[in-house]
Formats: sequence, C-alpha cells, structure tokens
Amino acid sequence: MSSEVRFIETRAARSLVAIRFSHVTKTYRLYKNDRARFAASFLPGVKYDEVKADNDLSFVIRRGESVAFLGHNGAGKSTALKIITGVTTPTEGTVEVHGRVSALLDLSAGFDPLLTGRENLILRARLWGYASSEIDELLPEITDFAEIGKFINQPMRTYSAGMKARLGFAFASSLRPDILILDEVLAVGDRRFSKKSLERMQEIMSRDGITLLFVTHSLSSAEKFCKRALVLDHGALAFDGPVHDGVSFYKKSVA
Amino acid sequence: MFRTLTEVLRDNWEWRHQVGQLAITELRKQVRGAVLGWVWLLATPAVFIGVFWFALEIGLRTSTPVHGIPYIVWLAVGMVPWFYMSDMISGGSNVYRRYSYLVNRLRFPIAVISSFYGAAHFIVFLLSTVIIAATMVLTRTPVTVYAVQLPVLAIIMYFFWVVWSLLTSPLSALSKDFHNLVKALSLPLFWLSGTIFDMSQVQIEWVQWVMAFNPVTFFVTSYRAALCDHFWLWERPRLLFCFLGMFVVMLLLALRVQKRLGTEVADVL
Repeated sequence: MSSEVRFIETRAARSLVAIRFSHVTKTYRLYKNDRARFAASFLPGVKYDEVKADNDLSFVIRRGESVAFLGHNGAGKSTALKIITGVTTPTEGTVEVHGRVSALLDLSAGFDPLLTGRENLILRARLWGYASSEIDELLPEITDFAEIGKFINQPMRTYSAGMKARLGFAFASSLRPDILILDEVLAVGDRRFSKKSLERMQEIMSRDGITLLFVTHSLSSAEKFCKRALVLDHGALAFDGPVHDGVSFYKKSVA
Repeated sequence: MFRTLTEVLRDNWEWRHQVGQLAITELRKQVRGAVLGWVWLLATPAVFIGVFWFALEIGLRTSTPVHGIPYIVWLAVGMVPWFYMSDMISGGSNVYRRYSYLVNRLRFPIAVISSFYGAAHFIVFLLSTVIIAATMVLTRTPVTVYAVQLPVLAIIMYFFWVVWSLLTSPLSALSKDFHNLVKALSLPLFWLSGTIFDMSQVQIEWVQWVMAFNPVTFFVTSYRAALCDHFWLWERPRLLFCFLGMFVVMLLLALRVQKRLGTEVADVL
C-alpha cells in the first residue's frame, strides 16, 4: 500500500489541473471498541472491520471548474473533500492539489468555542498566512457579512448554530482561495441570509480561475452553481458529466 | 523513524511564525472569564507554594534550611519547574482532543500542536523563574556561578516535555483510559519525585536508582543545583546519564508513535 498527497501552493505553477485523484482509496478501520483500537496500536492480530469510504476513486478537476458532489449519505463525498483539504490522508493512491484550499467542512466550521469570534477570525487568518494589516482589512468585511454585531467580542460557545455557520461561511468565502470547498453549508440562516450567501457564491464564481467543490443535497443549488457533477456511490465514481445529466442520474438512483 | 523526525522538524520550522500566536491564544483561553485574568497564571502557583511552606515549616516543623537557604526559597525553586511539568503531564498528554479542530477541520501539522502548547506553559515558567530570581536577589540569597546551567536546563526541559506530548497525545486520542491513567500518575509523581524534599538525602540505593529515571526528579534536582544546592550536574553522573538515556528512548518511542498513529489521529477524534 502506498499513498501520497501533494499540495502545490506556488501560484506561479498555475496548473490547468486543480485536483487530481488517482486510484484513491480511504479505508477506515472499525474496532469493536476504543480498547481494541488502542491495543491494535501495539499488538498485531486485533480484529477489525474495514469500511472503504472511497474506493479506487480517480478524477481530474480543472482550474476554474465548479463541481457538485452528489450521492447518498456515506457515499464518500465528505471523505474526498477532507482529503483535498488535507485533514485526512488516503490509505492508497495519489492526490495532487494545486493552489490554496479554503474549506467549510461542517457547520461548526472548526472554531474554538472558548475564543471570541474576533479572536477566532484572527487566529484562522493567521493560520491561513495573512499579515496583521491584511487581517485588519478583512475583519470588518467578514463581521458585516455574517451580521454578528456585538457578539463578535463574545466567546463562540455563546453563539447559536446559525451565527457560527454564518461566520464560518463569511470567513471561508472571504479568503480568496484558489479552491473553495463547501460541504452542506448553504442551508444556513434565514431566507435573507441564504439569499445573500447565494449572491456571494455567484460573485465568487464570476472570478477568474477559482475552483468550487460543492457537496449538497439541494439539487437546485447544485444546478445553479455547478457545470459538472460527480455522483458517488459506495465510495466509487458512478457518474461524471454535465450537472443536469448528473442530477437526473442521481434522481434515478434514488427512485 | 529518521524520516518521521525530519518531518516533525520540518513542520515545526514551516509553522514557526504561528507557534507564538497559538501559544498566546492557549494562555488567553486559560485566563478567559476571570476578572484578575493573567494574574492567576502566577497566583495559583504562589498560593500552592505558600500552603506547602505553611504545612511543612510552620505546621509540621519538619523543614530546616537546606544548605543554608531558607526552606521556602528552596521549596519554591523546585516547585517552579514542577508547575510546568504538571501542566505538560496532564494537559500536554492530550493536546489533540484539546485542539481537535486543528486536527480534523483545518490543514495543520499535528506535530506543531505539542510545540505551541508547551511554549504557552513555558512562558509562564520563564516568568516564574524571573520572579524567583528577583526574590533571591531581594532577600540577598547568593546567586552563584552554578546558575549558568539554568538556560540549558530550561531548553532541555521544554523539548523533553514536547517530546512527551508527541508520545502520549496520539495514545490519549485513541483511548481516554490512557489519558486518565496519565492524569492519575500526576499526583503520585509530585509526592515521590522530591519536589518538597531533598531526594539526595534518601539513603536507599534502589530508590536512588529508580528515581534517576524519573524526569521530574531530574529537573527539580537540577534546578535546585543551579540556584540553591550549588553543584554541576556532571557531579551526579548517575542522575544525568540515566536521564539522558531515558530521553533518547522516549524520543524514539515518540517518533514510532507519531509514525504509526499520526495519520490515524484525525480519523478517530
């Protein structure tokens, strides 16, 4: 078994390919309980079940494409996005990622509950590589968009789910990444906010060269933003083509 | 193994600018919500030292000046490294659960988490050392040439406990039992390791041998060697070389654990 993930961040490279998956398999080992998992890190021969979240997945996404990932729960969409984001590694296969990735992987958006909204934003922007002056410019824009108001100086444990999600979306979409990954996050907030985030998405899409990966169960928003769809089924690629065909393929598989 | 070492070092080098920022954030999280805030970082240890001094010197009347230095000064000098070590034993062994969002929500090298967590508590340790040194100067306790051992010791202590964190945190991420076990060991270590008494006065040979492999004993003894007891560490070769041997073994174990479990941590949290 061999696996490799290469993150190529130099903008000079400006590859035509944004993401390349070659025979990527991600295997999760399921042990009977935590004790068995712990024992397995020292001892050979501890029993476990294997689940292949992604199974021999290969595809290429070109720069500037907008791709919807469709599939049932457990089809391997989120695992694939996590591999692209770099928070988990494939068990086998190679992955190339060209450019900087900004990802919103879930509604809590990876914020620290003990820090205030402002501290969280500063920390995240630092980790992203922004200098203090750039952060000063970015912060008001993000907080305005998220409509957090005075709560920005309160610890995030006091935020409602909607506030966290709005701040997460505002942050991820303000970073000007090369690749933007959104996992089931557009359903947040009230109608007004979701209208606003749809507009923000359209504005992002109109920029040159940004690649969008989009997991959603809302087929209409997939059709709205994406030109291409990948349908996953049990970790394998079941369909790859224009989004309208992908949506009808997916609808058929549900029926 | 060697490859894991270079990866850990490279990750830390590439993210060195963020380590400071994250260390300050860690401290901020600790003092959040308290009116006195930052004062508590130093007040808690001070109260602790005061209580032990009262119980042992005033209450039990067991303590006498050690090597001509008032017991409270001698006690405080040993306690200062203990507080750092205590934080690293309990908190440092569980940094991946504490910072799970850095592990599985953002792309962040997990080996760096131990570094900044250690750095945060190391800042408190350095502040405490400055206060101790100032107290010694004010009370006209002589500070001798042996104190030049301090900077080297401090650096070794920082790295030792970061390596400890690299070794234990993946195991704690896999098993809460493991972390509970480590936390349960913290209190016995405090009482057994010579933080409140002089280990060299225990005249039992096998105890001396066992304690030579106890890192808490090593750091407490060596801090007092530099500030109170006035000797060079190589004058106690057993303590020094047993510690160094153990450090190497722990480093190898930590690299092995990082290599085997490093990629698994994100999947289990």
